[in-house]
Amino acid sequence: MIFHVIKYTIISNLRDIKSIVSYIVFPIILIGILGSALSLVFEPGQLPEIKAGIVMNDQGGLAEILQDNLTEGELNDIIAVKEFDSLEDAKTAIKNDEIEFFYEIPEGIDDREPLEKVEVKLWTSNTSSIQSTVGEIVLDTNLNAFNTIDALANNESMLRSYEYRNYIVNETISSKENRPGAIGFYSVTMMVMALIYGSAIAAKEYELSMHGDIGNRLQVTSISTTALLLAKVLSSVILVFLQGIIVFLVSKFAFNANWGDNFSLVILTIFLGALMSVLFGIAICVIVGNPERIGGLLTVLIPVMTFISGGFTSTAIGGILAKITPNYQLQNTILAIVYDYGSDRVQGGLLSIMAIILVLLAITIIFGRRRRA
Amino acid sequence: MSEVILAVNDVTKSYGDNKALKGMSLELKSGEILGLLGPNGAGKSTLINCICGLLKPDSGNLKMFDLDLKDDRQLIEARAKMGVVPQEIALVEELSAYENCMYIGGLYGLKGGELKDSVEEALNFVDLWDRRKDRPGKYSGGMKRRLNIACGLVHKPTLLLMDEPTVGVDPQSRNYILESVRQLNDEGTTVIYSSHYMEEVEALCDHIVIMDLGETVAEGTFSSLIAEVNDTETINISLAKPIDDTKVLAEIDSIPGVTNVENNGTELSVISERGNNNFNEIIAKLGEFKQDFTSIDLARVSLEDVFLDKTGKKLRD
Ligand SMILES: Nc1ncnc2c1ncn2[C@@H]1O[C@H](COP(=O)(O)OP(=O)(O)O)[C@@H](O)[C@H]1O
Ligand SMILES: [Mg+2]
Repeated sequence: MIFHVIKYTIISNLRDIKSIVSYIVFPIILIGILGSALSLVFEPGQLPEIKAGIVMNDQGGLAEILQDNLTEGELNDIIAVKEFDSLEDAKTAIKNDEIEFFYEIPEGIDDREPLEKVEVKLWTSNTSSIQSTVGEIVLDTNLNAFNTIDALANNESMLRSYEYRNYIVNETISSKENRPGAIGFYSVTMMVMALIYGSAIAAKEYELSMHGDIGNRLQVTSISTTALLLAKVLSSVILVFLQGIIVFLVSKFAFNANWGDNFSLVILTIFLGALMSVLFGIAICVIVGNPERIGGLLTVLIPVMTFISGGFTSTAIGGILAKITPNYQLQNTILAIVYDYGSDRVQGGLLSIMAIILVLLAITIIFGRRRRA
Repeated sequence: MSEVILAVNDVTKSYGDNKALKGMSLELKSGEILGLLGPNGAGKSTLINCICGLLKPDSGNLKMFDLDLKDDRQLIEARAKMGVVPQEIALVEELSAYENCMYIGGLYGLKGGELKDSVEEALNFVDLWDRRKDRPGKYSGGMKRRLNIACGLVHKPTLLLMDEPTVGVDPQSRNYILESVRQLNDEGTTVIYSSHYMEEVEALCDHIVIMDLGETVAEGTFSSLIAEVNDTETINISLAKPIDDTKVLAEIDSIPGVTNVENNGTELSVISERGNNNFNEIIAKLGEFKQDFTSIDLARVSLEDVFLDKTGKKLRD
């Protein structure tokens, strides 16, 4: 009977054109739109020259090496950096729209105490502009490199940027090939969004089997509620998994997105993501209990979660909030697989996903029992 | 003596403070069509949902054959023999009529060829076999109702629970449905049929339970129920114009033997004890108040009168 329910659940969902459009076609279109519109962020070579500034509060030694790195080099091709004598001058230049942002190199980089932290500041009037985003990527990348050299020289890391923002791309840039381009990046995040949309499918199927006219009809047949729910969870997982695979294949073959070499690991992660997403939807249902609102709630919640986890902008916006969205772990794990960020991060990501799955399962069982009692 | 299929004993069910069932009891014998007649809100659906286990009663007992319907295990076993036609149309929009029947039939444990044959039989039974490939969205209200019935029939239940299966249906489909219920019953299916249409219950059911406000107000066969109120008659009068002076109503009411007077615009309905021959007196009173009338008739006693007699209310509105 479980197989029977799965069969008809899948058939009816595959015929639900409206859902297919919002769960599959929409993410695919977004890959195209975001991938080309925001390609500037990812492919600096195409960006028109960005006007930036630098204020040196320290001279000589590390400060100058840092200055050279920030103003020259491959990543910095597109930035024209002008040196300002004082902080005030640089601020005025921003106000007058002469520059987009400037770096401020602090005093005492060379003669700092061991373990003393020194901050390199990025000043900008508009933190969300593409230009200052590029400025931040460049800064973070350089600071990482410096900290690494520093660590090799047995010093503690000492430089950090004024405002640390969690760039998915900045932490791991090692060579140009290993960095996601816009299409590659959005293929991953939109595929993840498609998976997370699966929670809405699961919520709908939960409602259809537990409440409402059709739910009532299913409830009075010979199948037990547990078997019915299990069948609905499995059908949703299959549907959501297919959804993820479709976005994966379309982005790979139609958009030529990079999905790395390790397809089996990517597919396994897509499967875990589907499972996580379905359980997320069901868990919300058993917690909230009021089925009418859940579908609508999720359709709003999912794009918002995608947004704050950095799925649209490449920048996780919500800090800790981002980390608790189901998108975040999934997105970062897949990026780690595709762009070869090392097995530690891949394993860590997969373990986190499995942990989330277990927590959601526990929530579903505990609250589900309580609801039935 | 036919065996008792279903025994409902002192079942209560409340929604918060609203006591939807206040201790309902009934016994259903094999081969019967039991009519549950009552106005909207009487508790018919609540009772049916308690029987099929969709709702857990607050107290009381429900037994089908030897199975205790309050026990989850035994309930599932009983459901294999129980068909439910819910009041609300419950069809999956994305599935064709055929697939809807296959889906529900399979949930009763039917498989393979047996399932296909049963679905074909059920769809033929409601005359939808030719339209089996259409989705419910393309159906008229009456066809949806018939498909709704077919879904509850696929597994050939011994006991069929039908909750107002003719609501919102054109007269043709309605007759078809009534005829089908009769045919099913002839073939041996025991039926509980809920309705707020007394004509349906009168025409269809051997055993009638009249419900109001969660209670049985009367129970019996049609003739035994009529016999209970046969000492009254209803006189319906169509007036030429609405009543000017309501004193006439009070005067008619005070005629010995008159138990109830109702006036609605030009409609006047008087209930009187039979054999008092109040007919003439009523006409005389109307004449006295210069209240002309266009027609007058002595209504046949119906379940409506039984309901009115027992509850003091009309069945509809
Ligand atoms: N789900 C529900 N929640 C609260 N009250 C309900 C619910 N269902 C029915 N009722 C109330 O219970 C009473 C009986 O309703 P119901 O069994 O649907 O009557 P019927 O089927 O005879 O029209 C009514 O007063 C109705 O308002
Ligand atoms: Mg009802």
